[in-house]
This record gives sequence, structure tokens and C-alpha cells, in this order.
Amino acid sequence: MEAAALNPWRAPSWRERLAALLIPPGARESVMGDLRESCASEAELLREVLRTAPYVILSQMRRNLNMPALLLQAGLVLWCFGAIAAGAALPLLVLREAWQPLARPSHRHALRDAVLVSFCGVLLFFLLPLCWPNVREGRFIGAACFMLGAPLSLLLCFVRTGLILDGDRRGHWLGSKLSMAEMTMMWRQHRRRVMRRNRLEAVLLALAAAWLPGLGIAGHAQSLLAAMFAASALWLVLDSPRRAARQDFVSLRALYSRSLAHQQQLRGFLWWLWLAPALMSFQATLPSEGAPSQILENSIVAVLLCFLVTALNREGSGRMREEIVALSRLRETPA
Amino acid sequence: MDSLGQFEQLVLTAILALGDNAYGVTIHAKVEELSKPRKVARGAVYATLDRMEDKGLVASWLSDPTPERGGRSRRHYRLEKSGEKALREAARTAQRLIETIAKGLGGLAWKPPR
Repeated sequence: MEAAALNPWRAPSWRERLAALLIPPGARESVMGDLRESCASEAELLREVLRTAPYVILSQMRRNLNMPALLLQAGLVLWCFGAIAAGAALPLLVLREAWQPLARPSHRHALRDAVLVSFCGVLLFFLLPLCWPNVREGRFIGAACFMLGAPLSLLLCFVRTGLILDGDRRGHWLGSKLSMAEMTMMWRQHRRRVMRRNRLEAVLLALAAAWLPGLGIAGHAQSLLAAMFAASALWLVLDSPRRAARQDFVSLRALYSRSLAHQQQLRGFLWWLWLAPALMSFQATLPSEGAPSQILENSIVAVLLCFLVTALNREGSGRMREEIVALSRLRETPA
Repeated sequence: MDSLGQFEQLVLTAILALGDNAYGVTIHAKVEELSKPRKVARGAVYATLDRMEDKGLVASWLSDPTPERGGRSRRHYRLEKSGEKALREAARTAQRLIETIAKGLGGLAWKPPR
């Protein structure tokens, strides 16, 4: 076996830390540790990082890719902004999946993002009259948006803070050791919780699928959306975590981790699905029919809703990853 | 169950052979040893491990961080029941293959290269 050749007591250099950024967070610790252990010099380590990174990035992309959610997001971008925007957004959305952080976003980053989003929203509103020249009174919109920028940013920060506090309230669940009986109990609770939530959401989705045709979105999109709601309801009914057969600690932990990741992917898709009818009906009023004040209101509500769904997904996904990392560090104790 | 690809068989066999000491570095070394004289990209091993973990063929966990790894943990791997089953099935197929080839060629005696 290859022996450790780098100085074992030396902390990673800035070059090594920089190269580590090429490896997605989901695999960074184990991959960089392996390379550090097996490479004879820093130059060799850097070369190995460059050779290994493409495989790891592709693998993490495949693992984290939430295909239904991605297609839905791309579809919404296509519907609202056209094919060029969708073509540009798709690779970014796919690549972003590989660099999913292993924890919930820090408070500072989350609030900074909120301010950034609100001011990007303001910029978008300024550009609105350029995109749709037939929207009259563009100056009015621009001025109104400029004045709304600060309150909007405050509102988004308020929403984000609420989600952070909610996440803090739920967190902190694991120690470093767990017995098999406790792990089994945790798995059963998780399974019951998931089944209850899936059944409830399936009923709501079915009701929404029946109600959607009355929404007044353009024909094909409306039927497609109703079909997606109905299919998702069926998916939720059929998709429940399986009963764990007699398994040991390691296998049950793996099953639990896979189920957590799967459920989070499902939730991520469903949040966007719930948002889709609202966004599509808002967009339908934009190009020609809407009065400036209505366009403004719709746009602000759309930004708020998109921000809320993204923040919910980030918090949920961060919490799930924290749980999976904590699970994979657990040691089994005797019952 | 899907049948295993050749590289997946190699990685599963390496994990089986290494027992409790199966993690990235040792698995890569063992796979290279099994597939001699072909060189194996380390990244391909990681990608295959990830894929097999998602399929439920192997399970993984993190060890405690160690100084020789710059304070980072090892990700250890272990075969799951379905992984063992898939590997047995692959071995049976290989066995049938060997028998058929040996029958067709009149033996599979290894001859040293001249």
C-alpha cells in the first residue's frame, strides 16, 4: 500500500486548500484526505486533484441532480424569459448541484444573499421596459422599483431570518454514539413521518390538479401543469420508505441516509411545483395586458415567492446534509 | 437486479478483499493490483463507489480525522447484502465463461511470454 509521504504534522498549505475547492464539498473531506495520504509531494497532490476532480464533479452532479425539479425550473425560465435564458440557466443549475454545501447556509451568507436578490430584482424591474417596449410608463415602474428596493430587501431579510430561526429550533439532534435500538426507533419515526406527510400532500396535489383548469393560464401549459400535479400525487402515494428488514447498524444507517436524501429531492421538486401556477399566471399578465401597478405587484410577489422557495430548499437541503454527515460519523454503542 | 459492469466487479472484489480496511486509498491500490497491467484512474474508483452506494450495493461511513490526512476523515466502505449477492452472481457468470472458453480452446493453460 502507498505510504504517507507528505509531512503528517504539516497543516494543508494555501495551494492545497485552493485546489481542494475544485472538489465538491460532498466528497472533499474523503478525497482530499486520500490524496494527502497517498501523494509523495505537494506537486503530485495538485496534479492528482486536477486528474480526479472531473470524475468527482460528474459523480456529485449525478448524485445531487434533482431531475424533476431541474426540468421544472428550466421550464419556468423558458416560459418566463425564453429559450436563450433557459439555455444559459440550465448548465448553471446542473453545475450548482455538484457544489451543494454540507450544512445549512450561515446566517451572514443567507442575509447577504437576501439583500443581493432584492437589488437584482430591482435591476430586473429597471430593465423591464426595455424587454417589453409596449409596457407604458416604464419610468414610473423604474422610479417605483427604486423606491421599493430597500423595503423589499428588508422584507426578504425578514423572511430569511424566520427560516433560519425555524431551522435553529429544529436542529441539534445527534450525539456521537447511538445504539442499534435507538437507530431503529429513529428510522421508524422517520418512516412514519414521511408516510403521513406524503399522504397529506398527495391529497392536496390531487385537489390542486382538479382546481388548476380554472386558473386561466394558456391552454397547453395549464393541462401540462394539471397532469404534473396529478402524477406527483400518485408518485407520493406509491413512494414510501420501505420497511427495514433485519439489518445491522451500518446497513440501517445507509438506508436512512438514502431515504433522507430522496425525501429532500422530492420536497425540492414539490416546492417548485406548488409555485409554478402562481408564476405562470403572473407572467401571463406581463407583456401586454397588465397596468404598470399590476406588473409591479406581480413582479414583487414573484420575486418573494421564488426567494421563499429557494430559501426553503436551501435550508431543507442543508439540514438533510448535516444529518447525513452526522449519521456517517456515528459510532454504534451496545444497547 | 442490474448485472454489474466489469469495473464495478473489480471495485466490489477489492472491498471484499480489504475487509475492515477498505477506504479510497486502499481500494484504488487493490483495484490497480487486480486489473494489472492496466492503470486505473483514482477518480473512476470514487465515481463507481458513489454509484454503487446509491444502488445500495455498498455502505459507507466516516472514521475519525487523522493528522497524516491533514486532519481529514477516511470514508470506509463495506459490502451490503445486495452487493454480496451481485458479486456472487458475477462470479458464477465468470465461472461459466471460463469453462466455456476452456472447452472451446482445449484448456486455458497459461504460457509465459517469449
